[in-house]
Amino acid sequence: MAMPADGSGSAVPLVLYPPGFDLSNFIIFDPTTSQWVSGAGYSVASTSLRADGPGSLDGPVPLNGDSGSGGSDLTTAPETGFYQVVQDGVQILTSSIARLTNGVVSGSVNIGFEAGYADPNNGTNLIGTLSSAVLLVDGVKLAGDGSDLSAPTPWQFTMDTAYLPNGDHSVQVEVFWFDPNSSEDGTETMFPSRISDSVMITVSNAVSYPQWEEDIGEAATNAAYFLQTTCTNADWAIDIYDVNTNFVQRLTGHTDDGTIEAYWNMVDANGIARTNADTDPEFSSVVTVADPITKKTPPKKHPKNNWPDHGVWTVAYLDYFKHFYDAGGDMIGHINDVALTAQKYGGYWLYYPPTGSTNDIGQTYPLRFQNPLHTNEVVTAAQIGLDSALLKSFLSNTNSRNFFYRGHGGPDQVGYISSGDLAKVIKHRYRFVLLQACNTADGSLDHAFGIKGPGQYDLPYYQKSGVRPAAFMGNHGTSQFANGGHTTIGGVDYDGVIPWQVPYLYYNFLFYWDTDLMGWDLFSSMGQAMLDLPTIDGWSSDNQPGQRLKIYGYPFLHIDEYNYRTSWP
Amino acid sequence: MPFAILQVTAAYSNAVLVAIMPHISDFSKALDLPIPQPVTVAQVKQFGCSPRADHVGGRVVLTNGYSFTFDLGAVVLYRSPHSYYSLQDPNQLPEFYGPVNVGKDEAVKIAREALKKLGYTDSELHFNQPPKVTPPKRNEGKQIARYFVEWIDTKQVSAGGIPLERTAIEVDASTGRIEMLGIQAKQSQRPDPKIGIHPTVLTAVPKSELVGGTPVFRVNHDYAQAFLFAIMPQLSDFVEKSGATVKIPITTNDIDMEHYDFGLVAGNPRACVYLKTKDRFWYEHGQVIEFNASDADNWPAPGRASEDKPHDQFYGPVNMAPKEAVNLVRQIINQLGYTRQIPQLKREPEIVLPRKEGTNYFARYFFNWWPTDEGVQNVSVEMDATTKKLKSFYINDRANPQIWRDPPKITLPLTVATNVSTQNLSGRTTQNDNSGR
Repeated sequence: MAMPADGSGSAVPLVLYPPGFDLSNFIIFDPTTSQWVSGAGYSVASTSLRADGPGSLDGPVPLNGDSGSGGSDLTTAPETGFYQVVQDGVQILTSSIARLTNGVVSGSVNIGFEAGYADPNNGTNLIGTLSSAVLLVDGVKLAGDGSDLSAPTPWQFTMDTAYLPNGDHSVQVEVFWFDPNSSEDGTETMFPSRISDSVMITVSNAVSYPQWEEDIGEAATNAAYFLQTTCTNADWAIDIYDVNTNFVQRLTGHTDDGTIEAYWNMVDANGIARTNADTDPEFSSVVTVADPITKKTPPKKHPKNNWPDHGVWTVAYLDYFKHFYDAGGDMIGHINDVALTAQKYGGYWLYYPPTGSTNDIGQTYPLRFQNPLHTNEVVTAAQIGLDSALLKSFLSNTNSRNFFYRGHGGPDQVGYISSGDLAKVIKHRYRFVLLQACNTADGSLDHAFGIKGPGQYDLPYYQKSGVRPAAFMGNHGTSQFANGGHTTIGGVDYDGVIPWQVPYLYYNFLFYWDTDLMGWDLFSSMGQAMLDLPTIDGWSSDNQPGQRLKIYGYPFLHIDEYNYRTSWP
Repeated sequence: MPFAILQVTAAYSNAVLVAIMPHISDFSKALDLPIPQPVTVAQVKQFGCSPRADHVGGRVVLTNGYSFTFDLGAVVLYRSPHSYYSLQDPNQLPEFYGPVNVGKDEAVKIAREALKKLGYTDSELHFNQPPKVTPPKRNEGKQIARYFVEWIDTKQVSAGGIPLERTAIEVDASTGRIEMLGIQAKQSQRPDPKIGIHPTVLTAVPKSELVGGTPVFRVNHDYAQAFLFAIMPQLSDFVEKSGATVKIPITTNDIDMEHYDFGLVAGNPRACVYLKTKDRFWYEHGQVIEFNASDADNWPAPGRASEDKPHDQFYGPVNMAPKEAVNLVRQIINQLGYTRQIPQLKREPEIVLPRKEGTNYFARYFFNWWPTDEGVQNVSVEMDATTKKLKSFYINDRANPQIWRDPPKITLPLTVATNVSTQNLSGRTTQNDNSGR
């Protein structure tokens, strides 16, 4: 409850005030102390959506303070306190819808949304922690965007509409919750998702970049600019600046059809080659068309030209399936098969501690996992931290250019590692990444490995941009791996059964992709791997193994193609 | 069924190569490829032999750079060194620039004719349908003189957009020559060639040791028996509420005692009960949490996991519409008392409909309830679409402690078996103990 400190009004529920409301001139009732206290220094609690128990939700939160984290007990009845009422599901805010649908939109627009996830057991508590959100445009995540969930509510995207071709588009928001208890019954997700209703918008920009290439070519001899303009007979200029905003170079030309395709040879206006990625990690640019139309473009990253002689494969899996019966040991078997195949095509990195080892330096094969249904098998945060650190050290090594992972995941999460953490340590591009985990195609993981999604591109695109062809594979949505139902085999009890088709998808895939065997490309190899598998009874077609995998980047990649230093450019 | 792996010896590899070379020669001749005829082993630069018993063949690369993948009784993938869609080196892109002398329709005709010459029919590859044609692309202001003609079975495209059945042909737009051809389709399978050498069949693909699971602790016989007698009314009650086709009341005479399995898992009593009719009940946390009729697709044999079964035993007419089936399943769940305990069961389940296989229907409905939009499976149900009877039921008790009930109290002393080695599938031996469990 809150009431004006000067007595000018009566006490009302705090929830009536908007999030972030300054309570300096109010006194508020703190249920934890049963005292009325000054509202100075307090604001209305933001919807942290943490299921950390009532403690994190019910009190006023000091401005810029930590909302705290209590023990998790979802079965505990909620205590009296302050709550923001949020509808179950995801809704784009009415104010945003009004802005988006009131005529054409251009430039950057804010799209606010609210999200709530009612626990169906009681209809009131919130499940899990809102972990990430993506903006879907025409059903596909928008390239180059994200949502800062640490920002005060209401959450919002700032969408640069110039990433879209001019015309009509549908916009939705998809949010993901982290629910650590949701992962142990045959799915590879800890991140259930919800999607908002779609809003139709009409986009119009004088200059747009729907085919924006965010990287400079690997050999650092070419930066490609692909732009569109509504001007069909106009001169254009692109002014390029370095990270210190110093003018670097100007590209000029003329367009007859609205297409601007320009290439910078990385030599600045003084004739100096700007090919050192350490001193020039990024360039910005401003395009001018039929003066005075100007548009600042997104920056271009400048990756190092340090491809190894032969790209190595990092292979890792999360220790999440051992309580499910796997008749032939094929869950580990198919991951071993990835490593054995990788051995022929650049070698692999993985680490498991030798028998009897007592020096815990972390491990990646498997990465340790705290199974919520088997809490007697304690995995400590320190152990998880060691494993994550070791995997990141593998992935950040410039020789590692391929990555296979099986385990739990999310749109911005591989096991216990976030895509943000990956992006911090991985400073080079990957050639091939396959993340067999839930939702891994739904967030920013492709970009964390330097592979541009969500589209697919042909060889001329890579040739023009100078960027080495690369492919990312991840799941759109939840990936199922086991059937529920209890089983005792040989005196051992299991939580469920893994159909043999689940691991055999990857035996098949490798069989078709391996150039020593069948030699198909990535796209066809995965298609045939699925085609070979009989249907798992009782699973919907979308849940059959491989069905939710998406390919971003270059779909025709061969198993060892472009994996050598000499094979590009 | 999972495939078997062959031990590929030099003799076997050579035998396979010799067996498939005539097919490669015929393929080259049919497409009038610029390769000296007949194509012989002497022209082979490299051969990768398939180690799989279900895929006799492999990939042949000739000394002139042409490659052929033989699989399922035919050449299914051909790439010429002039295939743009197989190009490994973008520096060679200028070599593909050229005049477009072949029109789109003509390119499609060339592709169709090629498939016919190879002996394929419309019904196998659906090439009577309109194809997807990628026209010559422009690069550096010039034409890449290649058409890409694809027939994709739109019913066989994954949720992620990957086609399962697809025929793709690359046609040189300057010359009309076929530079790449790939066929991925089940219907086009031909008999495998006869191979004179029979290699050793390895037991299976390379296996790793199994790990995990939770040991089951056995108890004294009398206690286990008493537990069974105590829960039999609950088994009958489940049958009554679920409408399963099981004779009730269930009595000791109905029990297959040989396969009765009682034990403690993490201290909790659980029982697996097979009737003489082979119907199976799993009892845990004070209730029947799983039931499988003997004729359920999900039925597991004693001591085994549920395995694939021939579908013909489930063929039958579909006498129940999806809505009726859902309502019936909801009624069962409600009668068992779970709707109130797990409110998310009020949501719509995932429904796997009876599937048409040839002229028959695999007459089973499957229903999966997830506690979130996507995530944990709480309940799965198998219904017979012909008889409208419950065939399998499973509720995830371990993820839903709110449904736990007290098991019957057994007054007999409980003794956990001692010195019983439970062979953990990891190969490690777990010594059971009786330390106060």
